[in-house]
Amino acid sequence: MSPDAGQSRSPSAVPPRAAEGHSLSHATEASTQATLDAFLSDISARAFRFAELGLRHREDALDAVQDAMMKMMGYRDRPSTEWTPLFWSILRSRIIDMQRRSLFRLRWMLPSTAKNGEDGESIDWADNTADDRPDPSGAHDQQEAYRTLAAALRALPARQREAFTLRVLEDCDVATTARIMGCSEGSVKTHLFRARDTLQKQLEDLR
Amino acid sequence: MTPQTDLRDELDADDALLRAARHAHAASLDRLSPRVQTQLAQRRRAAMQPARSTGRGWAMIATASTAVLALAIGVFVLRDDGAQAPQVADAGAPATTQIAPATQPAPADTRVADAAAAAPVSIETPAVAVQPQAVVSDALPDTLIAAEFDAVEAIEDASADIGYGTFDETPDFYAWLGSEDALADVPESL
Repeated sequence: MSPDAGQSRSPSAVPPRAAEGHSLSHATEASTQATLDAFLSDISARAFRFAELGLRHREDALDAVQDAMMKMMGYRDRPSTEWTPLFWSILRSRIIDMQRRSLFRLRWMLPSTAKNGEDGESIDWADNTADDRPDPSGAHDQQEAYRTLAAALRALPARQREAFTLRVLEDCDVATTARIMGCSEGSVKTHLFRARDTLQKQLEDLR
Repeated sequence: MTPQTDLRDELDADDALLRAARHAHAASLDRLSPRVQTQLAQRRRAAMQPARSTGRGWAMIATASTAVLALAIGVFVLRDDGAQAPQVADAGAPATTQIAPATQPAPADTRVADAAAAAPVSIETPAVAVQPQAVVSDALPDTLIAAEFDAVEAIEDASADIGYGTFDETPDFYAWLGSEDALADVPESL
């Protein structure tokens, strides 16, 4: 008899222990879903910024984040402690795939704004005119600071950018960063050192 | 791993650059545009329901496959009917007429043309009311069809005296004439 066959029986016909186990599995599944939903909700903005730095295109970044979220559904049974490195690893792979695909994209078919690099180099930022915060000039400074940082990060080689973003901005430890990037911890440290060295030269004003 | 490498990764918590970078990054997370925030929420909800969307996708694939299969079968059957159209015959039709000079079995599509070319002896007809008429008409050039009509008129003129004119109103007879059965019933003396 299939497991579903018992569901069609009346509640009284289901053995109490089986019914209890069934409801427990349902509750566990719902709990896992809720936990994963909260995890994805928390990480989505950071994932978008990470993808935006790598892909330089808003819609592509959103697609990459969504793909990573969908693939994470396949790992929802893993312990939640593994979700963070798994998600970043999936997202990084997805970004690399999309970067390779974009090499073959026919540039002449893109709109003129994209061809001129206006969309490709821009970053998403909430409109300042709709800002109801007490310090609009401070918000503008924040925007300029992030623009400068993003431009410097985009100028880095991909591995250095990933190492710096994951290790510094996302605060992953070296082992987790190495696992995400699929390299040794020594490689992570080397990439990080070089990235920091380059950024220090470029971002004198940011400090 | 060298000691120098270890030292490289010791992130200085007081490093002004790293602190400024973290601060700018944190501000950027707080300043995502409403459009992107909405998109992220929508895409997260879509990603959280893969089973339903996957099932819908499989249903669409199954429907499309079924439609293509049905179309392929239909085309195959139509082509098969077209190839066998002249052989659709009533076995009980009268077997009293002389047949085209095609004494050997020929492919179905070509026998009609051969018979028409041999007019006025041929009695292969335009099959006015026979089901596969369209197939026969499509398969023949216009010149051959005109020759067929000429042949039929000649036969009608010739057969008027012997009462064959009534055959005009028996479409099954013409269908039978195009069949293999008609050839089989031709006496050896003819």
